Amino acid sequence: MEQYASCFLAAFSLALYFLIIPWQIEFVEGANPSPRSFPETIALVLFALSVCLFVSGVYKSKREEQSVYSMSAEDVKLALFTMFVMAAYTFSLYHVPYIPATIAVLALLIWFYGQRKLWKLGLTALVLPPIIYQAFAVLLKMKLP
Amino acid sequence: MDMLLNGFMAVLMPENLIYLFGGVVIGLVMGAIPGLTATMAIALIIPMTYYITPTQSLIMLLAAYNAGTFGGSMSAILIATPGTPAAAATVADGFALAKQGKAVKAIKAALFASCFGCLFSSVMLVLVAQPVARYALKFGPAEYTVLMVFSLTIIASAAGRSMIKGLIGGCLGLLFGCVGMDAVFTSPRLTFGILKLSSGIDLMVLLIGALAFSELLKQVCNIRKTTNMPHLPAPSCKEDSQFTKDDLKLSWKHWFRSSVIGCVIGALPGLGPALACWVGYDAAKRSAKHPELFGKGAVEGIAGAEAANNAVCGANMIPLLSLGVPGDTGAAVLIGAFLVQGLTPGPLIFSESPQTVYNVYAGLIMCNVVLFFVVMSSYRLFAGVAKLEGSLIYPAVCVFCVVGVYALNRSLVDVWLMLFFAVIGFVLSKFEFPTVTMLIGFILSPIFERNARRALQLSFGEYSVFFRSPLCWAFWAITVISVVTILWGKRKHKTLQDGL
Repeated sequence: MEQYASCFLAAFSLALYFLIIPWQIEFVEGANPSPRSFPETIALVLFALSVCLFVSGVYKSKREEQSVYSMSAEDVKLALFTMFVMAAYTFSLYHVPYIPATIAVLALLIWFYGQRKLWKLGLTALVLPPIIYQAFAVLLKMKLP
Repeated sequence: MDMLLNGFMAVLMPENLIYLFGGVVIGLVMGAIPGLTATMAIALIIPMTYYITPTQSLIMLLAAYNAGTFGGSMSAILIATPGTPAAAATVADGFALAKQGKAVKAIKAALFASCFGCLFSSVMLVLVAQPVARYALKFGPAEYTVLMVFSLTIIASAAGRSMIKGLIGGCLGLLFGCVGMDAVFTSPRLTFGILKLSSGIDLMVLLIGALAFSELLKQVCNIRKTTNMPHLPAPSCKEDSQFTKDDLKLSWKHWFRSSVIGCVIGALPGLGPALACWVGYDAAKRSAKHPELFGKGAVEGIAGAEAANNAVCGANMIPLLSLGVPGDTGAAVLIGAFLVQGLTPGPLIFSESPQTVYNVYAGLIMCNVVLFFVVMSSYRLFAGVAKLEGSLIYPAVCVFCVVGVYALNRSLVDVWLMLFFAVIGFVLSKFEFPTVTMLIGFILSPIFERNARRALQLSFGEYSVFFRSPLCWAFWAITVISVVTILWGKRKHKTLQDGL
């Protein structure tokens, strides 16, 4: 797995050096150091480190010390669902007021995380958003969406 | 001395005391919940500090940091799960005492040791920071650049098992730090045409996304793998709940020894409280009359570990305030809090806002007093706090992260960026790349680049400028020593964890 990660990073650092930096950072003639110098140095160091990571991955796999990454389907499902809900929540904040959107999101997440006691679910989802709202909007005088 | 007294007066004003108290309570609660660390507590509190005074903000955050470090030992003692990595060494003796019906004694032993450790290091901070800062005013850009290289050695410490992965995380952080307008030529860099990015990525956005939210995603993955909480017996007699004179006799030497250890570890960038607790515990075990009792409920074990880890809290403010170099990840996050308040940690802070610094000193000292009273009056509640269900806590933290980031600039674009960094942080941590190193790289990136470019401009592009002055050479030497010390510390940490 470390070899794959290192290949991805090596490709990223090369893309950074040859494509992204020339595209995204203006070249200033005669400037030493130029605005590109620092990011280019980082890209080169990143490439060198990804080579080191590849070599250490090969070395570890020979010694059977390779890490076993815990990327099970269940893990990905829970994390992806959380990210999806949070993205939807952020999007909804453009259109829906803060308190109802937050109540819905809290109830959904609490249910999905396995809480089946409705009084706990209801209490947390209904009580917390007004408290946060009060703390930020009233105490700290901030306008929430 | 007058300024310190003024600092105490300021901290003791009711409006400031409330924030100090709030910081202690939030830090304790977050530290006591396994999975939520003291660093995460600071990250989540910072959004609440945007609109309060620097003194209120900084004392609240320092109180949360100190209380969060202590809070970890509450869950270590009560449910055998360290709330923070700094409390790992407390589990053995703390939980052993709790199983004997002496949970309250263990909590008191940890509390006294923690307060002593932090007070000791706070005194050291008051004595040492300003003289070091006065000397640091003589640094030029070349010296600062090498100092930043020295600061980057923290990455070596925070890197976890693989130094290469830690350095890759650090490089990504340095790269994200480049986003925004170029400081010299005012041309956009890596903004991809997004107007919001021309002012750079906000530290708080990256911090909450990559550190707090990604950690939350990791915890969420394990949410259904619940464990049964142990039932602790009730005390058999009154003494079981008291910290007696005999306990004090056994502990005081360890308090001093471990406080010194914690101060040294805290003052050196990169080592942090997680190492301090093990070194303090090891030192206590080596010097104890009955080392065979360690791990079976020795009060000295708790004293050694707790005094050392909390001594780090004050001591790592020494490099932060005097040089602008964070002592550990908690201090790195505190830099964000200083910046939010318009203060730049470093030698100039003593001339720009000296009273704020002394208020911070006074706040750090006073937070131990508040921590003492809060814990003494509420320790029974913490058994419940430590057992709070993740299914209720994590969604609450999720929405708090969103509102915290939104509060920064009242912009939902920041929230999208935070979610982006959460994904990056989650993927990196799943592949065992430490996200903390990305944060450190991000914080140091602008300071490092600014000083390096200034030094090169002044020397007409000569790289030898970084080796000209004796001070530069001294910093290079310290950098090498620091890397060696950190590597030694890692080996020692692993050996102690394996052996104890």
